[in-house]
Amino acid sequence: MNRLVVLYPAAWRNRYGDEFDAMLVSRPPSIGERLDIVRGAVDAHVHPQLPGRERLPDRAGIGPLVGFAALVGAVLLSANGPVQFDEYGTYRDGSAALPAFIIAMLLLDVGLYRVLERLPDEAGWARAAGTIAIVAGLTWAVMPWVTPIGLAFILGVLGLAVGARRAGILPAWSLILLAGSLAVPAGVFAATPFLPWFAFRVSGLDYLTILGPLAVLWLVIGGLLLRGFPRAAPTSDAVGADGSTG
Amino acid sequence: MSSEFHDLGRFAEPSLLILVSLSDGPKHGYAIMDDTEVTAGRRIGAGTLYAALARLERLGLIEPLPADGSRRRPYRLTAAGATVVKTQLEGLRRLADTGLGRLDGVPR
Repeated sequence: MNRLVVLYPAAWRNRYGDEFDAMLVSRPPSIGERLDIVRGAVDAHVHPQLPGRERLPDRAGIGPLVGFAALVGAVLLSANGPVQFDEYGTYRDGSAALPAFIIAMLLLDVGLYRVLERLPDEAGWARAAGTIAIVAGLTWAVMPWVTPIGLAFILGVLGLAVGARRAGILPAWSLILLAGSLAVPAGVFAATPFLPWFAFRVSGLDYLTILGPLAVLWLVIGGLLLRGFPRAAPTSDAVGADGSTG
Repeated sequence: MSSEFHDLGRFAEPSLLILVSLSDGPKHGYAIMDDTEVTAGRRIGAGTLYAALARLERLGLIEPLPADGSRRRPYRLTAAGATVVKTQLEGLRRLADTGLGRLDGVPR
């Protein structure tokens, strides 16, 4: 299949992909026509025409996006906190960032809850993972130095995302993006038992390595809610029945 | 239906060309592109073509036929599509007559 066809939504590809690809094989597109195809793909995402795939935009997506701003604020406050000295050297006191971080996590939890609500009843394990993510997220916001809670939060989010993908309400690209961005902080959390606790503090890895990739989570959840999820498939076994296998 | 047709925005013109192309019988995408290039001197890009086809199908102005052996799926005009294309073309003819008449100084 022509590489340009993969730019289109899965439902569109299921309906038109084969004939579209056959046409491109018969008539290879010029550069100008390739741009036209890219434009058509954007249109297919923004204005889906296929019946039964209407999206349900959720204004709650504003929550995670505002939360993203709070997260950026928390990082800036944290990175510019007063310099402290102790026997391990100097560090920035980031405690002033805690309220902003708690607000950011609260707003993200709103988004995670709205995703969880869309899961079908059959996706019990994914609902459990989502619940763990919401609770662990709030707990971790209050105690960000307890890395096992942060790890539970990340794993819970991933479980929720996988469940949402299986239910056909999360596009494959967003799952890949989330898994890729969450792998870094999850790896850092998993490594903490084997590293001196002050290593991250001194190097500033806590801001850049953990919160940087995590920020993708706020943007993806907020963006997906505002864009609107497709209606959930009736059962978790119905992967692809609505054309969402791509 | 006519107002919905105008709501197609930038896809209104290619949609009309597609409807005209299908007026003499079913065609698949490739044939529609070739036909509009010959009859209207306008080449519709593949992305625009399928964006317009999807809209016309949703509006019930065209309908797909089973794909042939070469994966190509022909489309044909529906009764509603035939009415719309006729209305649009008659409107264009009135516009053309009026414009040409004014240029010639002959009110029509």
